[in-house]
Amino acid sequence: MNVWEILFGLIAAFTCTVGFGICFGIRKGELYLSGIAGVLTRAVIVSCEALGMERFVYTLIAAAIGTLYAEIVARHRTEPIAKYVYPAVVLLIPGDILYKMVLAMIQLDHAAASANLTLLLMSLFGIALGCMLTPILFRPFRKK
Amino acid sequence: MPATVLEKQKPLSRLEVAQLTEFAVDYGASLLMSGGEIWRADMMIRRIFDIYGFKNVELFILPHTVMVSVLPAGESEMVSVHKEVGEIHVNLEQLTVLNRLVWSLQKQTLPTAELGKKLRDITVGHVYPRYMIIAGMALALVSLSYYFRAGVMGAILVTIGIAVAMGFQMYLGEKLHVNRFLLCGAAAFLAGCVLMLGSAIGLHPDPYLLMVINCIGLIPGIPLINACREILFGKVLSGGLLFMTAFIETLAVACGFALSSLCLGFLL
Repeated sequence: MNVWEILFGLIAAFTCTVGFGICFGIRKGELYLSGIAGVLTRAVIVSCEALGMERFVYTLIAAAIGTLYAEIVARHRTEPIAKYVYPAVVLLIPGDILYKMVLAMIQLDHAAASANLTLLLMSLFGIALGCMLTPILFRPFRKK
Repeated sequence: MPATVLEKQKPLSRLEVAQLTEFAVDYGASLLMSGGEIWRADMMIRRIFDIYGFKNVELFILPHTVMVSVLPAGESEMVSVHKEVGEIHVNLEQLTVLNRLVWSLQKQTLPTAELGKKLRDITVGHVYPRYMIIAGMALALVSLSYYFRAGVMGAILVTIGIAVAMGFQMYLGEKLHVNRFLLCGAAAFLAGCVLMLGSAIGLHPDPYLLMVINCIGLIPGIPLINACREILFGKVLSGGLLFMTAFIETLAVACGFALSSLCLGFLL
């Protein structure tokens, strides 16, 4: 992957997250913050893929870093963390695996369907676990 | 009307407890309908009761139901309110406003009679008009087309496909009053037909790749992740139900696409 491909990939991540941000009802003035979350997540994915990591591992790391960003921005702006977590993790949702799994089910290819189901569950739990790590680490510093 | 600071120690009457419980249930339902997590609704409802001096509150929250029971001071009969939650549409602005309401209550409590009106007043509704939401999703999917190497024509077809699917869901879906899963399946089927026809006239060689991209826009990704988070938080029942609901919706979307390829596959 060359520099231009990475750069265009990050721009695509920004516009993609902004697009999802509009669907999620984030106000105009705050859309760039969700775009940055997408860029950050994409940068982590690209770096982890370059290091040859498994999907479960890099979704977990990307979700954890996206949530860390969300936690920092939410604290700074005194807003709920969910507002920035959703745009950060939306790029990690394994829609492609979901589709392949159902297609395999319809084609009665049980081996491919179960392999994709395993991959899907691992990706989803990887994202969920990544989202939980940062709040757990931040808990001792939270105001009561 | 200026907010009144209540004395926290003064026990609430049965009527006030009923008003507070009703507000808490409505609040929880609004939170869930805006895409909030179940654990968040649980935490916020407990916080509301905590502000008004109630420590022991019984909560039962499922993806589509909120139930709250509380025992007023000096009484033997509980006040119990439950509410069915409507369809979930992620609205992060509404979620923010709802969070701020509880934070403001922590600073300054309001009389229970005013709480319901306050909740109605802060309802945001849709931040953007429907066409903007469709345009936003189209922007997201066109960007995703870059990762899938779908090309310019692929991106255009994906845009048309998602516009047809979401337009059908938003404009016709409300009038038809059909089952949510059927509606998702039908929307995906229509999008799939657009992609198959586009490929049949030679606009793109691989309609299945475009279906994968469109599928990402139609599946309930956030509820799926929230369900996994609920399960990891130990709320297996509510998380499992949420997962099943989101998974069936996903199956409906994928089946819609698969059905369109089966019906129009002969054109390729």
